[in-house]
Order: sequence, then C-alpha cells, then structure tokens
Amino acid sequence: MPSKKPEFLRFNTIKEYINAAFGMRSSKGAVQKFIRAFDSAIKDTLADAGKAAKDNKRNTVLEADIEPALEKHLGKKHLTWEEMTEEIIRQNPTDLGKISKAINDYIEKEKEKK
Amino acid sequence: MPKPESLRDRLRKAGIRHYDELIHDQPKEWLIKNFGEGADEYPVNVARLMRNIVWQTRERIQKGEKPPLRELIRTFWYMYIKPTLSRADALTTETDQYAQLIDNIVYMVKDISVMEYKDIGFRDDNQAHRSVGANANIILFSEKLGHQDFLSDIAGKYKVSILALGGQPSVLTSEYFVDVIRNMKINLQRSFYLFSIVDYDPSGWIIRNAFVDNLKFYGVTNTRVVDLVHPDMLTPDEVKLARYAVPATDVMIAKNKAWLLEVRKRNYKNQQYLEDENKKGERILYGLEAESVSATRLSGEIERVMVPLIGKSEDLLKIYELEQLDNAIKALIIHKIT
Repeated sequence: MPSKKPEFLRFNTIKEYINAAFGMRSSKGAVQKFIRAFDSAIKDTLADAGKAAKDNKRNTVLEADIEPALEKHLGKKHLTWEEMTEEIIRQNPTDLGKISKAINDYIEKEKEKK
Repeated sequence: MPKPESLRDRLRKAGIRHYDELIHDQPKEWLIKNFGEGADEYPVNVARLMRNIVWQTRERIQKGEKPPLRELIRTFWYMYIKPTLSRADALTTETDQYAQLIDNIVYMVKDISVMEYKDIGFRDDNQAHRSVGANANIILFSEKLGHQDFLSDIAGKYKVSILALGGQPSVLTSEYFVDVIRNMKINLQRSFYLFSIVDYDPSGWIIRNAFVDNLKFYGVTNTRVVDLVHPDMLTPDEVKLARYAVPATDVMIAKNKAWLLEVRKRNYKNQQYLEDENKKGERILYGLEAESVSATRLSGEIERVMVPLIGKSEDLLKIYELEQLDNAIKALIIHKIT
C-alpha cells in the first residue's frame, strides 16, 4: 500500500534544476509549495487512471486511461476573459465547429432536464 | 525529455537485423538457427521471421537490388512468407497467419515507424474504393463497400474526397490516400472535415476512430468528424424497426460501455429507443446498420452540413465556423432566458 502522501518529485532535483537552467537560487518554501502541488496532481491523476482501468476490468493502466485523467487534472486551467477570447479566436475552423457543437449539445441536454 | 530511440534501437527491439543471406531461400536448419530464439509453438519465432523478411525486402528495394514489388500484400504472403513458414514447419491453419503478417507490417509502419508501405511498393487492394477530389479536405467515408456507388455519386456532384473502407481501415490505404492528398499540394495541417457513414454501434465507431487515427498518424491532425448515421436521422418508429441488439460478449462488454458513454454525450433524442432492460434487469443495447438511413436522407443531411463547407479557404472556413459559433451562443442566450 503506498504512503498517503507519496513524493514523486525530489526537493534537490527541483532546486538544482532552477539553479542550472536559470542560474537562480530558490527558497525552501517555493520549492516545497511547487512539489506539494505537483505531487497532489500526480496522485489524483494516477488515481483516476487506475479507476478507469479497473472500471474497464483491466489490471493494466493504459494510455487511454491516463489521457483523460491528465486532461482533467493538468490539462485545464482557469482563463481570464481576455485569455478565453484569445483562445477561441486562435482555434482552427474544425475546433471552432467542435465548440459550437458542444454548446448545441449542452442546450439539448438542458432541455431534456426541464 | 527522453531522447527518441534511434532506428537501430527500434529495429533491435523488434528483433529485426540485416542478413546477408536471402532469408526466404534458406533451408529449414538455417531458419531454425536464426529464428529459433523466442519460438514457442513452432520451431521458429514466426513474428520475427515475418518482420525480417519484410525488412530484407525493403532493404533490397532501397539499395536497388530489386525493383519495387507492385504487388498486393496477399501476393507477398504467397511469394515469400508462406513457403518460408512451410519450410520451417511453422505453417498452420489454426491461426490466420496472413492476418499476423498484416499486423506485423502495421507494427513496423505505425508502432515503431521503421518503414512505409510505399518503400516496398505494396499495391492497395482498396484503390478502386478511394478518390481524392478537388475539395480534398472534405472526406466522405463509409465502413462498407456497399456504399461505394453513393460515395461516387457525391464525389461526382461535389468533387469531394471519398473512401469506402470495407471494414477495419487498412493503414496502407490511409497512407496512399494521404499521399494523393499531399501530392495535390494540399496542406495537411489545414482543416479536414470527415463525414462518416458507419454502423451506429461499437464496432462501427471503432472503425471510424481507427480511420481518424490513421489519418492523424499520416499528418492529417486537424479533423472534425460529422456522423451521418445516428438515431436522430430516423423517426422513433423507424428506429424501433431498424434496431438490432448489439452483441454483449465478454470481449465487447467494455467496448459497449465506452461506446454508450460516447453516444450519450451526443444527446440524440432517439437514443432512448436504443437502450432497454431485460427481465433480469440487465441492459440491452441496440445499434443501427448504416443502411438504415436511406440515400435520400443521407443526401439531404450532406446538403445541410457538408455543402456549406465546400470550396472554402481556411479563412473562409474560420469565418463560417465563427458564424456558427455566434448562432450557438445566441441559442444559448435564448435557452437561458426562457
């Protein structure tokens, strides 16, 4: 049974990387905060992927299990209105079509609830 | 970032290497000596033997020692693989060894990317069922060859690209199909709209997804798939008449569940007629054959969803899609205030 708080990232690795890549020092608190956030995200992602594999009666976690879990825990970010507008305008035509479809699907789903 | 594996490493991991001797000409003892390692049921490791014959053929063609094959994979099987397996006492009718050859070539092309089909010059037995039109980025494809005439009619009318897959899509067909598009100087990074005529069931959607995945592998990454066969293309009565129970075998249970999850996201109104329960309270899933939607109705839908996209540059497509998005947002506003 893994420990409740697994440590996926090592303190020294992060500290040394910041030093080597940017030639900068880093505070203990900054590195710890960074590690806590990522350790927690990795743990949640792996838990979701493991559940998806189990739901599909598999003992092996596959890429197909990891992908949606990554999207859920790491792929999303909160955007400001400006960022969101930029993000939409940046999309290619096929992805814009997917957004329209998602909105229309949402409307249909909501209508069913009423 | 891990360094991508070198060609040599990928070949080594797949058990492929250079042989000076012509593998398919060698006697049984030589074959067993060179391919006996890892052998299980037969005197030789069949997968490794197949891969090495394929690789050696490619090597010889690339070096100009042999002209490109210009034959079907089926012919390659009869010419080189089957006699060699027979000589090594590894030929069997218990498993489909031709399918095993196909799988091994797919592995070499897609999984470890050490070759392409055209390196050897394999002919595409599906060539008659595909064409690329002037509007190459609009692709109408079907699961079954039975829709070929319909596809040809649409291609003739709108100059779009068409492909009748004839079951599980072949990677070879996808490679050659994309090659034709590339040779027409079409930017593969542009938007591609795919219109599918596949059975509305887990297997049909697996076929559809495999085709999209193949296109992606060959560089067509910006795609949007529009399904033309779904329950809302029929009336509730038509759905009830056309539906058939999706097999719920052990192999299919997980696939059926994944499919149901996907179709429910689409919020088709008539999906409710495709889900039921038996007396034991077990779920029965129903599907629809692609043929359950008539050609007339398919044509009507194509007119509505495909024709507005034809002949548009990327900029015009973007304007069109932004207008569609504007309409969707307006519909959302109306929905929220009513």
